[in-house]
Amino acid sequence: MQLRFPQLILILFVASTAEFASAEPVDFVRDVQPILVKHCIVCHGPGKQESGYRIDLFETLLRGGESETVAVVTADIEQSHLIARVTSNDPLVKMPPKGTGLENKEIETLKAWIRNGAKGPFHIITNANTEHWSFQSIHSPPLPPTTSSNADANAVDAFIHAKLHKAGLSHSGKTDRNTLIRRLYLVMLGLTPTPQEVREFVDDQNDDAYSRLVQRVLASPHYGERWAQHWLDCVRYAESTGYEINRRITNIYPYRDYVIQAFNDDKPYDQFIREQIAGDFYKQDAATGFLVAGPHDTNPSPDPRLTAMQYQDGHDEIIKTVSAVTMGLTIGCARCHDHKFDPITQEDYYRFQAAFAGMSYGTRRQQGKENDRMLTEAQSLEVQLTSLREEAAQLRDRHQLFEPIDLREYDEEFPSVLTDTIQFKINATNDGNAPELDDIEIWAKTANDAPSINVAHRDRGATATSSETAKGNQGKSADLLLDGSRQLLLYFKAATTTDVWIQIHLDKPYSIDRITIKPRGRAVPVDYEIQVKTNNEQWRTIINSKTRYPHLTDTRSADAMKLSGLTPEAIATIVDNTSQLRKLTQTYDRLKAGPQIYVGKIQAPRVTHLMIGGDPQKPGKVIEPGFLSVFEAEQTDITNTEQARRLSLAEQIASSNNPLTARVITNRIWQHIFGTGIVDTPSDFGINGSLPTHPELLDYLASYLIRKDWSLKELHRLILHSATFQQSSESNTAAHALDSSNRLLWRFPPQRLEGEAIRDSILRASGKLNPKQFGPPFQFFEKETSPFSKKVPLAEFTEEGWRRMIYGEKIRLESVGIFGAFDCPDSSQMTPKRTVSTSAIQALSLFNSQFVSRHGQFMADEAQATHPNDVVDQINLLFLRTLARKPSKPELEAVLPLVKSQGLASLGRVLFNLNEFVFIN
Amino acid sequence: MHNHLLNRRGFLDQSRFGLAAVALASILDSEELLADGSVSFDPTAPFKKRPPHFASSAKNVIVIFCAGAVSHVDFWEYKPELIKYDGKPLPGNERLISFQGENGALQKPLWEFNRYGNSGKMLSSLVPHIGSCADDICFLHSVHTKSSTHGPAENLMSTGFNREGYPGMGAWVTYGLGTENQSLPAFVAIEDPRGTPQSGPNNWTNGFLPAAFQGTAFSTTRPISHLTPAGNQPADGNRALAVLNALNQEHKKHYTTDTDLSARIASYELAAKMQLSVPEATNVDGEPEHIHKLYGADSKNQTKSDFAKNCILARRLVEKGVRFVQLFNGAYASGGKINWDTHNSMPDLVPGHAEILDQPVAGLIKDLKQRDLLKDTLIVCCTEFGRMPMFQVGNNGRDHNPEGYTVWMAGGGVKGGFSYGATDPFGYKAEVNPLSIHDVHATMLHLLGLDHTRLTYYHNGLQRRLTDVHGHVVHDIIA
Repeated sequence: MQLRFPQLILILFVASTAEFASAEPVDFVRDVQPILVKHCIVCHGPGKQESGYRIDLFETLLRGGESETVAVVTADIEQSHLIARVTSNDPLVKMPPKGTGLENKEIETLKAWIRNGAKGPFHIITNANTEHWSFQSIHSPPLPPTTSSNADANAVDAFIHAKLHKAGLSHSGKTDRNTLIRRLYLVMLGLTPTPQEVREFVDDQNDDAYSRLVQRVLASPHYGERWAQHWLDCVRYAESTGYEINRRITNIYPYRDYVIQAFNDDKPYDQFIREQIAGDFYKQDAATGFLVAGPHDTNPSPDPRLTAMQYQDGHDEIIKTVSAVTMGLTIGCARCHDHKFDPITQEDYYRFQAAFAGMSYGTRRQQGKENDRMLTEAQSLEVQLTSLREEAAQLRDRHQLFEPIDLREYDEEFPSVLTDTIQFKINATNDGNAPELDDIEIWAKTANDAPSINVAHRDRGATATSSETAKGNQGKSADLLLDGSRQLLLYFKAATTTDVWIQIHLDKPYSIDRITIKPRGRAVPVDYEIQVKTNNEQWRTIINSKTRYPHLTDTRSADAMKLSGLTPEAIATIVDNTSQLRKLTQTYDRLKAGPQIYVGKIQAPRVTHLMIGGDPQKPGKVIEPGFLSVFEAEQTDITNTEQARRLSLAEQIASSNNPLTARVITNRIWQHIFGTGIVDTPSDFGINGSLPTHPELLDYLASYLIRKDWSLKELHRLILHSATFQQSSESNTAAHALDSSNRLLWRFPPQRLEGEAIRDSILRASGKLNPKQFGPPFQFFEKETSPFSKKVPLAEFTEEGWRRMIYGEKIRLESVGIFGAFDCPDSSQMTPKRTVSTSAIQALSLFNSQFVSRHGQFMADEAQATHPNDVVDQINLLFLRTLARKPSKPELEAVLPLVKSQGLASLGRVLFNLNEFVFIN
Repeated sequence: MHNHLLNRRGFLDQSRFGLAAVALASILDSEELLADGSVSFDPTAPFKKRPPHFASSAKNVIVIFCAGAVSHVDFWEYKPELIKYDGKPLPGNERLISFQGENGALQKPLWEFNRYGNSGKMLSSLVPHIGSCADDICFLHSVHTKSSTHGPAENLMSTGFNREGYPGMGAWVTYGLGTENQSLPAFVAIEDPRGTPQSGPNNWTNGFLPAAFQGTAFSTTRPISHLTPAGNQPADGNRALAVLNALNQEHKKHYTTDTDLSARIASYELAAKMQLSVPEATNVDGEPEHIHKLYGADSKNQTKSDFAKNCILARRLVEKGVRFVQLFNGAYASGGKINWDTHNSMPDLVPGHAEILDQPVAGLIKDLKQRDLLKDTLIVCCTEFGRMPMFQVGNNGRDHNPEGYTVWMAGGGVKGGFSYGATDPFGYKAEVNPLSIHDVHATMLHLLGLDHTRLTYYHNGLQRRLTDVHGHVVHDIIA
């Protein structure tokens, strides 16, 4: 491991950098730790530390306890107090105090370990549950002796074969080349091969034909699209927020593109993880879309209980995703209490929350070329901007106008006047919409030395009336101007844009001299008068907006604008300047913000509390960011910047010494090749998860992955070259009787294709697949009439919609037409393993839909154009396009009458519905 | 070679999609609820009827979901103190901030309450028809929930979790019990004629259960998509289907042990059957006039008439052996115009909503009863939360109240003319025998013969349940 971030990484990585030099290295976890656990942990463990000596943390194991003697001195047995105590003959000194003490062999192991440098692990196991297999270090096991006579057999086969042999089973024979290429393409690319690709491979007589095919497949740009989908399933990526508003997120797709590109580039997996947690550090901003891709409730409310719940739920999504996707740990279970099964404490959960305490759902600047370009362009506008601003200042000066209003809060001041009724007459707003106001405060002096008080408050007895107010879900009446506070949903809104009036009636006459106006940033009154009267007097105007210079956002035309003492020409000049300045400012601000993408907003981290019982209303003690306590990770006493918190977490997860990370991804890769993982609970490697069917194989492959610098393509290559992958998938009744679920892999397991692969393969077979990669998604639904209206699936697509399904807009909760019914996840929950169900709805969709029949027609049209005169050739071509093989004689006989009576397109529709088509065989 | 497949004229003539003679293979595993709570089912027939954990009183469920949140203090729970303290602040919560902000003074019910039935139940005068069924209804007045936003609260009511992606009640029940009629979907969601509820399909999602258990959404106004072939298909789909079947059988010869292939073959047969059975089931117009009148389907109020037809559809489905029907009354947020979310203008809006709900729902209860189906059919009328006993500041509507509200049940073995639990004297907080949504779910499952702690499915690290880790059966309401 490289010391990439010396400022973050203290002692613990140092201890693990060097390989053991000795011929028979002592491994701490394998050899030393069991001795410590057996003899010492009860008195010197996490629960109890006799004499202050604690051995479950590597640092204190070496340092020793209260006695000031150092327990372990590297390479010096004489000076190591630990050895002195376990070898002493003095019953008062000897450890452990009871029993016969350590065996000589054990003492020799300890000595050898110290002699070799007392190298330690990254993690030390601290509690009983941690003997669970997945928490143990990964070791590459030796290959079992092979009993296979298969010439293609590789390391993978050695492990598979050993188990098969034990069960009295063996591999099935090698599958034929047509099946093999179709399988390889569907597994690796999610697409059927083209007839030409099939022919080339089938006819290739060279020994390395298959190797070259694998190479080609791994180099295909479609590889990333296929494997990104698996990853996005785990992350439950979608392009809307979910929950009741389910607002579209139109700028999160850069994350989807990042994942596709990362797979295609074979980005080392450890770096892939680091970037997704702390991509801002690596100038890979799109990568942190990982953290905010889950569902989140954005419905705003002034209710603090709801807001607190939304924060906790939003962060829960982040914690669950990070831990389950990368490490196969269900840390989410520890939100309310310590994990029931795994050694994860409730504090661990909140340590994770603290690591993400500054991360929230929202957009952020994407660093990089585009950002630089935009900033440079913004800079180039500054001269013009300054000149326009100066011109505006001069105009205001020349015409002696007051400064413009403020969109959020400003004061109108005037000579003191005694009154009990104040009227606002509004005739225009900055954006032409019906005026909105949050609050109006009217200030009166009650005594010379007393501060002014706001007399326009309903608690003082003030009341308000107005012209007609807007109808909405919430009240918009004028009393809301007098509630003394800005409230999210409770504000005044008029029904009309012009001729609006508001009257405020004070409880008695006051001498007032200042009015604070609090607009809402939009629909801000810009043409208004403030009038007063007492008793039955006439209204007297005390403020007129005509005396103010227009605000930058004021979109009134020169004709509609009146300014005190100005000629129409002078007003036109001002309006012209304002309009230019507004447009330029908008452009400037947009450029200055750079590209904004939905990959998490970063702010200063808030203080994290452990929530008692997981209740957002019951904060307990303050929790600092950190890693799981089961692993002796370093307690990061770093400066604790927001980024450092995530970076530190990323490092600990992506470490080669983390026993989970490599195993989890290896298992996912295996699962998406063979349908089921070696561990069939792919996001739960905890006690409650399944045990691996082939633990040694998993560790062999995980070690292999790390050894190959975390190259997933190398891992793929190894597995794809196995005889296990290349064997037949056909039934074998005898083997089925022994292992009906085929977990031992006596055949290649047939698998139902995902909805995406079915659609993509139909498009490829019809010749219409649009290979365009990346960028904004295509639509699956008709344009809505309102954000809440039902989404209606599109029946027809154009070329844009014939891109691969991963480029289709993923609306949370909405199942896309036809293919959604094939168990496409709705992105609410992490889906590391899709369910595979069969329903009549699927059959109806696939058999009756216009989409399928239309592409059957396209496929037929092209076959007829290729082979205009020979119906058998046409049929052959359709079979090749869909099944990568030609029909058998009985099949040909079965389909010919159909083609003759209903046309070739009808056969296309049939082929797209076949079991063989929707399965990887 | 497979010409005999094309000769089943009787069936084929009726259907452009008739797949005849698909062998429903006899490869059935045993169907049962396993000891660990997960359900073993045959993938070729996921809806095959399965026995419950224990003998049950209810066989089917109709949930009437009043989207937008019905005001319990205006409809179901009579609160004399609220009338007495009208215009006064809520004691102890004088300036309560709730979902939309500040609340004003206590506001008595806007409409009179009347006594109904032999039980003398006090209910709003806006629901006289439901009132006339009071002796069949069991009111739970002390339900409380966890969220004050519609989406999450709807999720909780329908799935047991306020987050998204957990299976709906109907998915759990059909996963546990299968269904009686193999030619109709086991779990049907009937949306309101005015639109989709706030949380949309998450109300009837299969979540992490196999997709087969997802609710199928259709109604009298919205058919199932792709039920009939798109316009550009050859008229005789049977020929294509027969060839499809022939090729699938040919392929299956090499995969004799693969039940999922048989399941796909069978699914085309079920699809063909559904082409006949679904239009037949949704043919509400074929019901006699007196039935239309009973439900109010003859109303000039189009929404009421459409909702009434959905209620008739619900009855028809249950009658034909559909296990679970989720029937929505009210659509999405709309300023209280097309659902119950009346933050303002309650005096204007609520009577209209009541009119749409009242007679059709009462008609459903009465019709089931006269057909002797009410004893087997559990009706649950729910909503996502209650409404405040106060008006919102500056407004004439009530804000969301998750602290206490009413769910009522009828039939399926619950006590009729019975009320359980209560909110505090003003109707704000569940006080007497408070019930969580999990308790409601546990009780529903119990009435169906399912132990809520034993109906489980493994997902991401846990044996998941409808009731999470909570829930107690309310035995007091069971007859």
